[in-house]
Amino acid sequence: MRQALTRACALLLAAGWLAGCSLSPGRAEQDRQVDMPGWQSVRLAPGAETLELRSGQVVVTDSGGPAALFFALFAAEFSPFVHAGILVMEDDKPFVYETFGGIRPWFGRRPTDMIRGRVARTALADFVRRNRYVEIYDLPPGVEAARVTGYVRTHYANRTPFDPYFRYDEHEALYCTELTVLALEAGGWQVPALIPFPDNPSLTRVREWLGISDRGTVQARQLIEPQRFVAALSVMRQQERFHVYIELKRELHRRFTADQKLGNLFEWNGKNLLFRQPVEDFIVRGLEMYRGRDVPGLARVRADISALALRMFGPMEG
Amino acid sequence: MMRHRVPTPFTWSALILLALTGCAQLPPEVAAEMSAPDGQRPNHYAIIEKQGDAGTGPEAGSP
Repeated sequence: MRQALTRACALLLAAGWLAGCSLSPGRAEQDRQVDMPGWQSVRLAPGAETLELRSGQVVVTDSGGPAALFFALFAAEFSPFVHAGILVMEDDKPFVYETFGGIRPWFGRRPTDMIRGRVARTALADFVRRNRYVEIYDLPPGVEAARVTGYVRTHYANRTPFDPYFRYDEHEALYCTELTVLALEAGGWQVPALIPFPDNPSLTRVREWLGISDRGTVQARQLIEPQRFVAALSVMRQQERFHVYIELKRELHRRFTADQKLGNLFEWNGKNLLFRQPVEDFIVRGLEMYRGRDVPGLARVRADISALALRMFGPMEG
Repeated sequence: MMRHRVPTPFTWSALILLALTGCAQLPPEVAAEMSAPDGQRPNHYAIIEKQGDAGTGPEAGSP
């Protein structure tokens, strides 16, 4: 009984990290003023004594679940975060301007045809509550914050739609990292090149059917630099537990080599993308690995996750 | 007193259609990529651990 309860809690934890760019929060969470902080823990940059929130800062999160891992597979190099937005201070209250979509009943052949959304303005407290773990980074040197925030506010006012096809060759509709990178560009930043899609025939077949056929995507890790780290906010008291999840995702990503098919990881039930049972088991056991004790350092966590994968899945062939 | 309307055949059709729109069907070539592993292709996510192995290793041994 206790094991079942533990499993349910771990799954809820995993599922609670919503799929940033693709799944939406409830409408009630948007445009709401929140006076109470939405986080339980704050980790500041080394040497910092207070949380310094400023307009224009870049906010990134993972958002979790099967869709987040699916998006992470869009790049050969692992990116811990899949969702991004821009922080804007309004009347001394922090808001995140972001874009995301949700699956709506619609006449469409493909899941991407059914995704609808637009640029949204979310109180930072709600943003942290929804995503559970959020990191904030300062703008690159020389980038004008006023132009960055002006860009996202304009798209919020224009109700610019979410782009479920991840097209960077047009900007009539925007996906999350596209909105953020274009805002930085408006502030004077040199936009990095798109990260090309990996050479995996299975992913390519599904991706192209979904209508995601641009040259590549903007990845959240391109928008941040460790030296610009400001703070990490989380609803978890022990933020290291989030890093366990990231390391589990990293291991799943590492195993998705060119000969793997998507069906090894996921199943599609007609409405939702789900993890296959072995993958779900791996995540649950990984999240439960340090239950009742402190999470060790990152190197140890990575080694433990790697050992767990080796024991459950065996070595990778080829 | 509140009266309950009995759905007409047209209403039923509309409701069924609405329900179906939420279920995207995969074409065969995509379904093949999303299908369960069948041993035809390598699978780095197949459980090899024997029953009873759980509870050993890093979960139990990490400091």
